[in-house]
Amino acid sequence: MDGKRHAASFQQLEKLGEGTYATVFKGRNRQTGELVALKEIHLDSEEGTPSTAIREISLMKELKHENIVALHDVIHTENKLMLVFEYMDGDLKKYMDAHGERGALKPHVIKSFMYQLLRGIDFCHKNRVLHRDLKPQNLLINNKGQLKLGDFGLARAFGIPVNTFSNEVVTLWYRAPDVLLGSRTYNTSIDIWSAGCIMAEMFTGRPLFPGTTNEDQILRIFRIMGTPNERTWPGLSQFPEFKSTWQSYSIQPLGTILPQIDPLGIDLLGCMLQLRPELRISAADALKHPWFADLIGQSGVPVQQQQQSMTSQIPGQPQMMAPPYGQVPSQAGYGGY
Amino acid sequence: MATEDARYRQTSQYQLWSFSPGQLAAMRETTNAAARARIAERLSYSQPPSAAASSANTPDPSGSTPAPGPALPEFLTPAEEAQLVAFFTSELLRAGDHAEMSDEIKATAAVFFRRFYVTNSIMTYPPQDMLIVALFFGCKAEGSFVSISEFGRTFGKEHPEEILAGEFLLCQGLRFALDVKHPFRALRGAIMELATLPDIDPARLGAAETRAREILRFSPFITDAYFHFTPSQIMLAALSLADRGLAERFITKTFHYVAPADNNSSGAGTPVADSGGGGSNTPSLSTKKGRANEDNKAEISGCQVRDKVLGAIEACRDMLSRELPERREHWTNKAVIKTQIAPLRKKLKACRDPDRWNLVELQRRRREQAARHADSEDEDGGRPGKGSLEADGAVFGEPLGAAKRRKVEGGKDGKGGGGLGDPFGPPL
Repeated sequence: MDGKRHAASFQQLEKLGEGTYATVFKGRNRQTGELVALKEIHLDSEEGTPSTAIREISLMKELKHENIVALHDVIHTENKLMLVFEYMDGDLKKYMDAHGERGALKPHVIKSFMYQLLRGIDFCHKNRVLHRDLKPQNLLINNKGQLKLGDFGLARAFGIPVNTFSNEVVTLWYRAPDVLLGSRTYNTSIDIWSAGCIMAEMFTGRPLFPGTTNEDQILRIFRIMGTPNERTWPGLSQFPEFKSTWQSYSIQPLGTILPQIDPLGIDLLGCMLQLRPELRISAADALKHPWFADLIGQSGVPVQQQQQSMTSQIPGQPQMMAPPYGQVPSQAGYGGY
Repeated sequence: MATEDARYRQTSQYQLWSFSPGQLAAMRETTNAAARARIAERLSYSQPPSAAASSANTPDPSGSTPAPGPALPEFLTPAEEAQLVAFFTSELLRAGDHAEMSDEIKATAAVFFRRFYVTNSIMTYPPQDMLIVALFFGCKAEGSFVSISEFGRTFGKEHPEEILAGEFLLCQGLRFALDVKHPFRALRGAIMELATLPDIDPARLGAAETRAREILRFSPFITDAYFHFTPSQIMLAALSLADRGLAERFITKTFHYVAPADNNSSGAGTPVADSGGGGSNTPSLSTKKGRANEDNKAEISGCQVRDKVLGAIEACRDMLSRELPERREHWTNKAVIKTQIAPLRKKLKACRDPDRWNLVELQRRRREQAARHADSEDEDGGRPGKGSLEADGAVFGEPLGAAKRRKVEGGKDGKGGGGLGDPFGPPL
């Protein structure tokens, strides 16, 4: 830091992917041999250092947690800015493609990932930071089975009041209904909705609500969660995107839609996927949910012995054949930084 | 999960930018001495032609001992630098008012500006430029988008590069700690808490909040409050200056309810006293002790913490009281400026660093240097040659390091003229 280290301290290896506003390379610290991810941001813009980069540096300097990807260093040269992150082997999307049964992961892996995801979210929220863009591509995985939140390019600190945010943020599929309805006073609960969508996706291998447009996204949610009305959601008609012409869908029990998930897991998912933001469970409370009771310790990495009993509880679930956290192919490109 | 207090100790504000008064003074001494040494050396290389000619017969073979000729100006002392930083911070706040920026942006910009001049001398980089840079960067850091051209127009800067040239410099000087914690929200919270008490007159409360906020918008930035105290301590000190009775009620309320030591947000007292800036492991002895878990100890340790917090608040109160908002007038008073500031600025003009005073020019030279560096890297197949690393260090390093290296190089080529190794080229 502080200009004592420079770009030449790192050997640039293959390109890992494109982030929201930068290119990410794999790199190696020439002195220590340690692998890193180098996020290169070009400064050729008329406006100097991009605000997204400033926001990301600003937040990442404060957020030090084992479930948040660590920013080791910032290297600023005259024409580019390089963020040096800890190296992760891949992202959750790639992990699901490589290790899942048609994308679907084993329940014990999902439980560990969900626990770690919620711990990372909880830490952000306790530090008054909303991630706002949680999706499988932004969750980084290493071969120790650790999951860390990455890409804080859209995150921002929140305070009181929180009513000035633009409503064009979270990737559509993981976007909370209140945001889709045009709410500008959203809060931590938007990250919880995303976490719920990600949990379902890990079980099925497919996105839960793969909408194509804002309107389509809303209807896909209602088709499963039921169409709300002023009685079930007071104030609903005040939202900018409210339509009195929505088709009226009845609530589908999540357990029927997602038979892969055990009843306790369904219960937790139901707490996260609440249409009304104020009814959504907090990250801190979600971590205390009984579904996590059989995880050992605080790290969220389950112990091997327990995994067998977990899998065997679920009828029709094939026995685990491979170690849960295999090496992710190093070619796996990802832009989760 | 960690308490507010424990979380505050993880912030960059605490870890990188909190110092005891002694530490801060020592850093400023070091910065001042380094700048003097560097500038003295640089100026001695670029004597006016007449001086150079007269000494041509007796060239200094080592080139490393600057001739103490009459050309060397009188330098600013650390105290004089501090006074100028205070003056320019008040200018920064006025500029922020002029541009109708939010309290948070002005506050962040002011803290950026003051932090920058802890490790950079006001003789090295021009404060009147850096304050504009700090405001622009403050907008970005606070998530408020403003286009550079619009911003430039507000401050009469026609060319965006005049502002952008310093952005990189500032960012580095801040050690990339861009998140500044302010006391404004804490004040709102305290007032809301107090409003729940049945016997407090809302008008009194409103007046106290207005006054406290007015103090928070000025006094902490003209003083070193942000370096020594936590946001909640600064808030309570301001509240105490506005209405001591209310502040005491709030403190009593806080410590009455929350016996177990530091488990409260408002008292979040972590006097940074002598905690060592670099994130030492003993950041707050008192609160650590206070975290004794036994219930029977809770009340006692709560008292200890309260006393410690009260001490910090008193100290902060003293500091803020020296620069109450009424002093805005002092810093713009024509007579004061004429007798106190103008002489310092005149002195500054004579002793400033000729290599670094023009930020646009400085950036241009650094870009060239970086380009040359890239070329040479290509030649040796991308291996980071030792030489290139050092050159890079000289460009981006601290003034002291750069001065040292130049000394070595000056000795090497024996001409005492800065030599080819000088990243800023031979003397003009």
